[in-house]
Amino acid sequence: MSSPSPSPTTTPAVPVEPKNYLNCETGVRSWLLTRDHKRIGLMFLACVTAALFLGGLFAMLIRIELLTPDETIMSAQTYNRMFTLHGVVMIFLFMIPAIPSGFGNFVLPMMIGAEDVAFPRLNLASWYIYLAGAAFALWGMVHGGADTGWTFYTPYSTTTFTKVVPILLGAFIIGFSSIATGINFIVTVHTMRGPGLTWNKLPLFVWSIYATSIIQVLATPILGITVLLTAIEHAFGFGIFDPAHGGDPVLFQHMFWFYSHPAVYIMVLPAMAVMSEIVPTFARKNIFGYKAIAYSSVGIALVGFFAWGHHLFTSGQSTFNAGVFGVISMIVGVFTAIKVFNWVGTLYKGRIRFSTPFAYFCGFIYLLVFGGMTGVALATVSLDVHWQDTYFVIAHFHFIMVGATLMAFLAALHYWFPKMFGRTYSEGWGLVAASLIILGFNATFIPQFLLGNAGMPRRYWSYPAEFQALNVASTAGASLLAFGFLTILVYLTIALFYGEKVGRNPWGSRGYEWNSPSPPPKHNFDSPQVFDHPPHDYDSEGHEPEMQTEVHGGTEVHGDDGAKR
Amino acid sequence: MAEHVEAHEHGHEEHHPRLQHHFQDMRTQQHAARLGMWLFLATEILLFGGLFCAYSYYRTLFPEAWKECSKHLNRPFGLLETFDLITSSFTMVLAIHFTRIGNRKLSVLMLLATATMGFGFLGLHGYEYYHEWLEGALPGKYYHFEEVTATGAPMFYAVYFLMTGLHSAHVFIGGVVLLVLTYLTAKGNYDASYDHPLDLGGLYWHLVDLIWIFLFPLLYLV
Amino acid sequence: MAHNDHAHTHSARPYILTFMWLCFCTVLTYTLAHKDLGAWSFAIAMAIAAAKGLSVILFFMHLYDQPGPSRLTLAIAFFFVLLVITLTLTDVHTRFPLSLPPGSFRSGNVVPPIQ
Ligand SMILES: [Cu+2]
Repeated sequence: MSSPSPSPTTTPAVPVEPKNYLNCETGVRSWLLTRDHKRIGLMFLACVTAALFLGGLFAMLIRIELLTPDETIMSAQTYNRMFTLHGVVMIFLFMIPAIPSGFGNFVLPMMIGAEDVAFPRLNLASWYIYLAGAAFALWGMVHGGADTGWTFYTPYSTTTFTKVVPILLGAFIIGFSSIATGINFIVTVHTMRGPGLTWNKLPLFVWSIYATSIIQVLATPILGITVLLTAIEHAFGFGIFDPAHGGDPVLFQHMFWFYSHPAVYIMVLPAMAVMSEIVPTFARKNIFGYKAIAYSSVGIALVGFFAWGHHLFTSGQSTFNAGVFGVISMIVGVFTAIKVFNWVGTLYKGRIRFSTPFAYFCGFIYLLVFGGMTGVALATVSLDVHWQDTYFVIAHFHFIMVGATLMAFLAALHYWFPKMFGRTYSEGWGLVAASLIILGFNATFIPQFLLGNAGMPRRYWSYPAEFQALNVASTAGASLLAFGFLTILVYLTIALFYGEKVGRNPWGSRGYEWNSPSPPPKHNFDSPQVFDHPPHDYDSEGHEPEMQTEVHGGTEVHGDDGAKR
Repeated sequence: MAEHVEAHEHGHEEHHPRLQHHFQDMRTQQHAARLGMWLFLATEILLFGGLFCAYSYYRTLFPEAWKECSKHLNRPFGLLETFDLITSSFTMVLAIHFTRIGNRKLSVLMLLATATMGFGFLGLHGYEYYHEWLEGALPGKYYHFEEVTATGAPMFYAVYFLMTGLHSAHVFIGGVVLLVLTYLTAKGNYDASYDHPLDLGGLYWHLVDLIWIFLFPLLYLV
Repeated sequence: MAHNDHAHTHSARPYILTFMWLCFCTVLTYTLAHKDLGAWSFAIAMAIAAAKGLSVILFFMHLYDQPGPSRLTLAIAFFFVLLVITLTLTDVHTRFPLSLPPGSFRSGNVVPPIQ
């Protein structure tokens, strides 16, 4: 056990680096039994990155199969398994935990001046629960997989011969991980805020993650009971969703989407959280409409719960319900528009630094706006009847849900990388990869909008020959995307070991988490925190932290305190 | 859920030995533990909420089957089980009360009584299940109960077994937690200044009671 | 600290009163279930259950002296249970009869004539 010395050192002859959270204890054991939220955050990040590459591999295989109208590399049955596994891995193993459990764990306690989250052991347990759920799901994938799609619609999911039960149980278990993280964050924000840090001084990241946690806590149990019922139905045939005994498959869809629609906000709200931090930092300007952004997060969390029925427009749901759900779904767009307006308002007349995280913000806002607008179109019942279960829907939700989350994940990775490891990456390669990713993403999904509008249904293994050109374009885009990810993997791995060292605040951000050394010591700060300025405040007199020159490739040597030089 | 058992060495003398380093004071720690528990209970309520949704869905679809099947459940047994759980909730609050006024012996006794009533409930319910098994009043494709032939009767039993089954699983977990708490109380871990685990265990047990308060009229007294 | 927090709960009296009230309500709902109250019977049974549940929450679970966030948590949880039930039930009640499971309450008798 060591603790960093808080006393100011007077230029020792041999500089002794203060211990940080990465090197204060070593060995595998010190990681597996850690209760440090920063280490747990990193462990989550490692797992979700692995899940991202696994899900991405499935996606590439799907795209390669769709290069030709008939069999290219796999049989129809394998294809069915492939898109199911792609959905399950990406949603349950990557997108839901990625930002809250990964970055949220790392920075949220630091942003509120806390030493740790409220329940550190529950936090570690949450990681193990995630691993256990992932193990269940992976076991099921290896031993037969599932061919139902990630939505597990009954009656198909209760009659298929593939291994749905372990995958359903995997989703059930991972749900508890999500709940544990949510409970932890809510209690942390309520009870661990530093002195003077009132609700209206919380960084916007914290507000959004708080709203996300509310959804995680309230929605996930319903998914839990739904997948449990489906697993019981598949294993024992209780008939709860089986029309032969009086059951109704539409009830499954109601219960499934009661979780899975708000789950979209479990993925998108954290993305918005990241962007609300990045925009003021790189625009060098106070956030515009702090309260509007903060409260609209809570608004999305609430209204998102009233919208689930838009997935049931063609499932036999009543026209009355379809109308109600359609209108409420559109209201979600209002809250999102409030945020977009405020981010753009922040950029207006700002001194914008076009660094890598900001490049991802540009990709994000574009995907969010166009994904959101197609969403409002899809919420129109009469239009949805045409687009239901076509590639238009696929492209829509990949834009808004996947695109936004992915952009935010990568933005957060590049934004907090210096804080996490005390080193920085090559800015040039960062921008190259960002352009690859954003271009690749558009090239993949814009053809799918067109395909869907032309009537190509989702989840089909073969298609009429006239759809081939657009499918090839989409696959080409996907390879661009894959290439972008590999580039990031390479230069970030290099940066991890050989990247230039940075001081405490390389971006010159006003976020509270940058007050700690990089990487932070075990208990986050070397001195007690005072919250004398509002978050995202770039106007106040006196000290305005500037960006460090080494980030832009300058010749400055390592300083231990970039902000105050 | 609860994060409190570990005593943390700390520089400041005035701190309670059970205070963890990252909390300001004991009051905040207890507030955090309680809030965490309430959030957990909210997830439990929503977990059952899914089943309540299925219940109301199928009750609306098959009102006749619901009436007839409910008559075939053992009402006096349901009443007995209700009294059993209410009384156990009562002994649970008394156990905490006795810990707070420093009477450890009575506290242990009350906890034991609570756990006994919990497992007693499982026994009573097991007996009911056994009878339904004999009659063939079972869910879905296993249904072969001759006295009720209304459409949807298998759905009633599916919902009945799932709801009471999930509830019984909770009673079982609660019973085990109570036994552990009994042991720790007897060992002298809790007193007037520190009883958070008892407090949280009690909250969980009351939730189990609370769910049953709704299950009883919904299933037995249609 | 805990002992200041609970100074006013050192009497077991509220617990005994709550317990007696719960027993009374249980007997009441059981008795009423054997009388035919028609459409009201469900509403009355649920009202009694709600009264019982509320007293368990307020007095046994001490919600009456808990800080706001805990109360809000519970209120929101109940609200969401009601939400999922209400919006699925409006679906069942307003649905095209043929899309309801066979033999259920409206599916058999109100089939509109096919032109
Ligand atoms: Cu949706």
